[in-house]
Amino acid sequence: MKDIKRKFNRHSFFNFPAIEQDLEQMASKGWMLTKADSNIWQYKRIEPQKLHFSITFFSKASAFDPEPSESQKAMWEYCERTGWKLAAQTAQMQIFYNEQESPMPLETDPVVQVENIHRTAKKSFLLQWGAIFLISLLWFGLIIMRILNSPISVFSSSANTFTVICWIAIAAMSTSELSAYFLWYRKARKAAENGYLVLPKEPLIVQYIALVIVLVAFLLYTMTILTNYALRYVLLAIGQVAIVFATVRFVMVTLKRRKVAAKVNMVLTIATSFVISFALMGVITHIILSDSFDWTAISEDAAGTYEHDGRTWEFYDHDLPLRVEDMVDTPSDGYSYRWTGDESLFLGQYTGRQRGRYDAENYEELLDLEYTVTYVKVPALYEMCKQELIEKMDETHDERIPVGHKQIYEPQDATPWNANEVYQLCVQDTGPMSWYLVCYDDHIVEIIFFGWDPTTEQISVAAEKLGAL
Amino acid sequence: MPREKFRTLTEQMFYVLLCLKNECYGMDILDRIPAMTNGRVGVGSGTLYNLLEQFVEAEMIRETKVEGRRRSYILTDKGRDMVSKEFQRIRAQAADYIAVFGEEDLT
Repeated sequence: MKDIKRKFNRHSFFNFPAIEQDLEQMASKGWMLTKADSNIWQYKRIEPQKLHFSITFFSKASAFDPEPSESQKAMWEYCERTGWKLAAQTAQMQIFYNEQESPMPLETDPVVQVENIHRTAKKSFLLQWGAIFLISLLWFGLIIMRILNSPISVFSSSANTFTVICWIAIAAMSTSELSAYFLWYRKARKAAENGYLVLPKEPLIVQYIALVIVLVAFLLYTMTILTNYALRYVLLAIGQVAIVFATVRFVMVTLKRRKVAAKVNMVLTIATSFVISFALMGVITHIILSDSFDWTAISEDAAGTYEHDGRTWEFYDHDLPLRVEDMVDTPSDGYSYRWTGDESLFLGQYTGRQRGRYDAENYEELLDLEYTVTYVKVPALYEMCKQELIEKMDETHDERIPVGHKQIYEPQDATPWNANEVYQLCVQDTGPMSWYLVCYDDHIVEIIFFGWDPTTEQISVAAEKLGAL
Repeated sequence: MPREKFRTLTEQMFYVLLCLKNECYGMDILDRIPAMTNGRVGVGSGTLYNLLEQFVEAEMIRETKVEGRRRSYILTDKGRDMVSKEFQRIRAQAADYIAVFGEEDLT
């Protein structure tokens, strides 16, 4: 039978009545709080008994204190005098228990109590959540700018979408924590004037919803990358966070044990968190770059390699929705077919590439084809995506390109493509290119016929295959 | 409108300051207030500790002796003023009561 139990403390810093109630229930079940220096609280087995718990705050304490200060110990003595014994403390939060039937409460003046909580909150809770809130605001500004500039790159990437969802959850949690606190403080301050204490309400619903959304998003995200090398990077990122947390905690606890002064401990712990974060970021970047620039490595999805001109080339044999052979009477030998992309719940973007292999006997005669299909799963994003694709190729505002040589998408008759809208890329001096942007109901296709102009019949075949995607 | 700090005193603040007319150990106030009020008023340990810290900070009391963790305090002139103002306020309230209900209603 286990004598030690650990439990996550889900309550907000200022919801002391809920914490007291939880601890009283735990004691009645035979578990006494012994340690509360992290979010996982430790309990030891005791005889089930009715105990009273009460929390007060000591604003001068810090998580970095090597040991309780004399004034903190003096406060404990005051409490002991009325039968309140210290069970555990978590930096400023001092948790006491009392075995008496009807003990004198620890806090008897709501004005003093509320102000003491607020003084403590300003030094810890509000600083932490305030910093998280500001970072999430800053991040939101950046992501909104990115979404306005390139919604496709944000929403067609499962990693980016997962990051967006995480930050939305973090922003919701910090906003709900801070607003719940300030709402309570405003009411409690007023009520204390009239001699009574308003009990806090914490935003548990928001936190649970945020947590569930992040977990579901993470599951969906990992499902999209299960067969992908990106899973390795996700595991590296999770490992990085775990190592940073563990190292920072180890440094802080070790320095505390060695009785290092609180300020020195704080500086060294913060410095360690920066150094270890940057060092691990460097390691991960190195791994990613090594993978990216390892020319000798073969892609997981390659069908094989061949030698040409002293170099090794990969070839692929993916199933493409449209092939040159569908439109032109040509043998399929000598081609490499590659289908790559990514998608999220909002958007997907896949690219099909059909290229002649350099080692093919008839290489010069082989026609190349490339098309990118953007699947818009949320109709509200359709116009933004279309505009991004049009503006991406628009050189009319690019001063580096001389007038007369600029390219732009020109609207064309959509009937041959059986689409809603069709644009063709035109260069001012050389005229239209075999490069089209074809807009269907829920997907947009950008297709390039390299070095050949498709006939009406060929366009009709392409339209049938691509329109049905 | 929330009160300006110590502009008016709560009952417990008032009695803590009263106890410190003469030098007294902080912890002894826990017993003195119930004794002074026949048990009508009591002050919690957490509340007392925080009040003493804040009163010292506001220079309404000062430390007179430190013996290990035991500290004794005494009221300052500023603190005396505050208690006096509070008393005037309570007395004015009492006077208003009498004006409305008369002295015969007092028991």
